Amino acid sequence: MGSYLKFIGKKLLLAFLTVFAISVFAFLIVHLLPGDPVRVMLGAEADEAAVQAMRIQLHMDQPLVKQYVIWIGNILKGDFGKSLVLNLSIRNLIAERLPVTLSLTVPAMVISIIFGILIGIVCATHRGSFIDQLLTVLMTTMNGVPIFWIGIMLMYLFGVNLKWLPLMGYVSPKTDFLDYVKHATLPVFIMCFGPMSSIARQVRTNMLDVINQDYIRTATAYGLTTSKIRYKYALKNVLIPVITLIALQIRSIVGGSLLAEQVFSIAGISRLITMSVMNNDFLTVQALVLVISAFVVAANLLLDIAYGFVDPRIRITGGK
Amino acid sequence: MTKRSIKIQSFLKTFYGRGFIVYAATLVALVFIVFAIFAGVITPYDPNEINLAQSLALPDGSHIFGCDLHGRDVFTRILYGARISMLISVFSCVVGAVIGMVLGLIAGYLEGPVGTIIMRYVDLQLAIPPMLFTIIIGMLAGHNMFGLVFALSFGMLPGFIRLMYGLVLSLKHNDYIVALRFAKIPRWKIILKHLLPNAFPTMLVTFTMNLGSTIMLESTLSFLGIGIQQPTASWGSMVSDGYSYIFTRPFLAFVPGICILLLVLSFNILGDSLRDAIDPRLKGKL
Repeated sequence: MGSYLKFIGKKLLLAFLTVFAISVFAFLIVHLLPGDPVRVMLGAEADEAAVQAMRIQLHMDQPLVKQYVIWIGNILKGDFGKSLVLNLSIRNLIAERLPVTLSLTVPAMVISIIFGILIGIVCATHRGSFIDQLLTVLMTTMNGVPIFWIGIMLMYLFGVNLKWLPLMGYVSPKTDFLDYVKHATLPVFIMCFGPMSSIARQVRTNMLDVINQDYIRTATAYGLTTSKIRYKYALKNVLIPVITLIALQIRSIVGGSLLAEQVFSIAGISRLITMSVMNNDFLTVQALVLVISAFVVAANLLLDIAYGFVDPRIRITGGK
Repeated sequence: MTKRSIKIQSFLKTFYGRGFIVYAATLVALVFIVFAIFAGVITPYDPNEINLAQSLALPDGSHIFGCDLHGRDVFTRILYGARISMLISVFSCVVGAVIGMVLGLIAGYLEGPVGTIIMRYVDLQLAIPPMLFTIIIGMLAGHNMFGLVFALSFGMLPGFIRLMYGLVLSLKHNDYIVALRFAKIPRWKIILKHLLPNAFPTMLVTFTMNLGSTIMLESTLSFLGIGIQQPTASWGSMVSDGYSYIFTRPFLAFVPGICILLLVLSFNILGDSLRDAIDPRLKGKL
């Protein structure tokens, strides 16, 4: 157990350092911009006095390190500042929109994991058969489909033509669960494309690898049933490396949600990023980069801890 | 038959080993490359010229995919969009691959503090969701073509650095490299003559595989309005423009999306085949 606690401690420290480094990157976004950020934010016609006042209000007259300390101090106190474009508190914006994004990304991730693993197992156990070829082609295609486009096409099919699903928008599951499911179906579906096909391909490769190993051959020679060998002995070793892949997919589903929210006009946190980037709302961009990355780091940390739990070898090697 | 032609023959045999699908991918890629190069010859129209008399014109003999809101021929814009997509993708991949290889080589060959700094930086960049990172860099570099190439190549650096780093680490402890070091062969000679040629096949495969995903990323950014700006034709922004007319002119969004799909898929398939033909052991790793 001692080695496991040490492993968790190490991972915690690393996660903390990563979030710190990301916060420096997020903080620097404003300062790396070409030109004067305050001028860009206020527009070209703003007069000198207003620019000066804004600069003092944002502490931009202070040295860089002091600015960072003030900025991160405020964030730790829960004060993210104010969006200059929407004129709203960024903290409230995040509190309002984060649940929306999570209520779509979490189901998308869960569905991708379940179906990705199932498809991978079916392909590997029926290697070379028609079903394997069909699913492999499907997974390859899903990986090459621009999901913003497939989202629009599905919306055209199910929303405009068949009228089975609402066109766009979002309803909270707390207000009306059925309506939430209807609105969430297409966005969640398109977000699954990338993660599901990656997981399925990885599971297929791993499973084929494991099936050919000596201990499986021994089990077969011993006279155990195929299903017992597959699901009791092989699957465990197939799924362990998949945990690493899931960690990667959590990062990439952020991209999926950027597109899903744009296509289906969902007022989530990803749409807020796109809007803020387009409108040069740097303070919001800064805050969102930090919050989203911190979320992803935290999710990866939990996965690492789970990884160390199911596979004790990882505690020693650190997953390398 | 010479040794070389036998080599080429066996290469082609594995390359096209998966049959029909690889031939189809080759054909699609070639068609789009021809489109991109000869866009000006194939179509009589200007991709950006506004002609309001033709606004949202339906497909007919002179405009096979119809016209967009500004009366621009959609087929023409598809052709020029192919040019933009491929130029940006190839350019970004070259920049990303070269810088990534150099940094990975430095990190792997020198190790020590320099190597640690490079690899820690890679970890840090990977902690930020890749698309978010690319968007932010694009914002910092400015909403123009240069900014886009910069952002795309910056975004793919970690992949190339890690790959090269791993390759160099595994190669440099091979006996023949150690022997060269003992023989006091200069470092640059070992790197240029022995390390790079051995790392080259893997890097070539990764490069090809990146082409498809970069085309995807470019069109994604253009769809979000962060990549290529109007009036330059880009498939991503064409989908986004067509989206506004989904009720009356669904093909405006349909056609450019199909092009993205076909081109990305064919590059992905060619990348996979190249991997199998160059080094089958890489299967499942790349």
